Amino acid sequence: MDLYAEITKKIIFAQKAILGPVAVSIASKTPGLDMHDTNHPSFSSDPKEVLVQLVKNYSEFFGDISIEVCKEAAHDALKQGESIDLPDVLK
Amino acid sequence: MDDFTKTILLAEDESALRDLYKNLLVKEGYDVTAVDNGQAAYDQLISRKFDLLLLDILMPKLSGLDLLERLQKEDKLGAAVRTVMLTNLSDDSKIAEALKYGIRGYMVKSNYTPDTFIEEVRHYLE
Amino acid sequence: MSSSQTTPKHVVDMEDLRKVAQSVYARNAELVKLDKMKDEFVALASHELRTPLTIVKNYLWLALHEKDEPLGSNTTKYIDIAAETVDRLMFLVEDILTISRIENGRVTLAKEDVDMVPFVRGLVESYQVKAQEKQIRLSFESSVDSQLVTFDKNRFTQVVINILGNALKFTPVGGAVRVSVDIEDGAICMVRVSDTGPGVASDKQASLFTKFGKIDDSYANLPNVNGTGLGLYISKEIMHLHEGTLTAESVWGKGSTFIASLPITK
Repeated sequence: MDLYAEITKKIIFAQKAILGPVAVSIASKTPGLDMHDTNHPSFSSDPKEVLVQLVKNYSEFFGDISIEVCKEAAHDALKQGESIDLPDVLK
Repeated sequence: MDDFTKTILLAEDESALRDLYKNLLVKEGYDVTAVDNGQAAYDQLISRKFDLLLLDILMPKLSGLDLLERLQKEDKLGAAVRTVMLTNLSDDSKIAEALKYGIRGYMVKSNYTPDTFIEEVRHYLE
Repeated sequence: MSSSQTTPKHVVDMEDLRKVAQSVYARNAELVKLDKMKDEFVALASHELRTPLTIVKNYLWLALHEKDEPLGSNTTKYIDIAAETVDRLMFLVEDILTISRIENGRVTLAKEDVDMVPFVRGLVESYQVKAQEKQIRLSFESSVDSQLVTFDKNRFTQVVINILGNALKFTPVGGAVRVSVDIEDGAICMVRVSDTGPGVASDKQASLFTKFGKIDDSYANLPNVNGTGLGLYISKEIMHLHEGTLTAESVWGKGSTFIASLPITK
């Protein structure tokens, strides 16, 4: 699974631990994100943009803490040495 | 010490265990060099050849795994074939990682008493 | 001043909901973090405990086997007991670590196709000596000659050893333990261990598989009963990981049967 998909998956799972299954339905409302297989999310548009929107979906209702959760999950997904162009909101 | 005496490098940071293992091994007639951290182990390795390396996985200054990584980078991984990791870890991932470096094996310290410890070392030196 | 102010349809409006959502979210996020910290602490503590335990175990052994300064018979007895206890402590720490790893989802099963009949027969055979020490008749039977089942050998061995060990422990001298392998509906493999021990009272059966669920009454009068109370809990979790079950049937005074069930292939 490519890194963006890995990051997306980790974010959704982290949100799921806090929100329950609602986290998945919130994620599936993100344009450009295909959540048919929750274990293998895929993108139909620029992954970076999709990530930005995904984070927004959560933070809109759940505030800054949810952004922190997304950030932690994103960094968790990146193993040592791997770097990727993260959207600013996740840096 | 004659040419037939086997040389062992023991790297273990827990002093009571290090003394115990060293004494057991010396009693068996081995030539033992004991260090308490990874950096000292490395310094020994680049200056001498040992028949067997008993390396603790968790050590200060340079962990057993990091030591193996450094040896691999510097192309000195010939040492790995004579390395047996000592661990109390039940964490399979660290052991699995160490095995990837081509080490001879590993020993879970809590499984051994002095007699079985010596038996295992003897078996590795054959 | 208009007297026809419309009352809002809902007492709680969107803004209130958002505030509640954020505060509950924050609370949950904190709890998830604490839960993770608790798990990390348990893993670290258990790991840290093993080193001093290893040291004690080794030095006690040295004390018992010191040829130059042999111990008197009383001292030997005391140190023997201490050494045995350290072993128990080590098993306890091992169990705690296993539970913490199971609960963290950090246990992956290494499944293989294994013929269950010789597998269980072999385990039973390895306990014959122990059974004979208590003059217990330990028998094995199987309704089939062979049956391939997909499971993790190491982990399932832990389960069988746990229930077989318990059966032998709680069956009095001269009793009997029966181990059997059966296939149900061609889809489920059941390993049964029946004993002629004291059994478990029906109101105590629920706590059998809980953490630390030792049952005081049934066990109190038995000599040398020790154990962490974690064994059955761990065994049950291992069966769950295999998508199987571990159940017990027992009548107080008449013995118990523990049943480990596994789907044949997965």
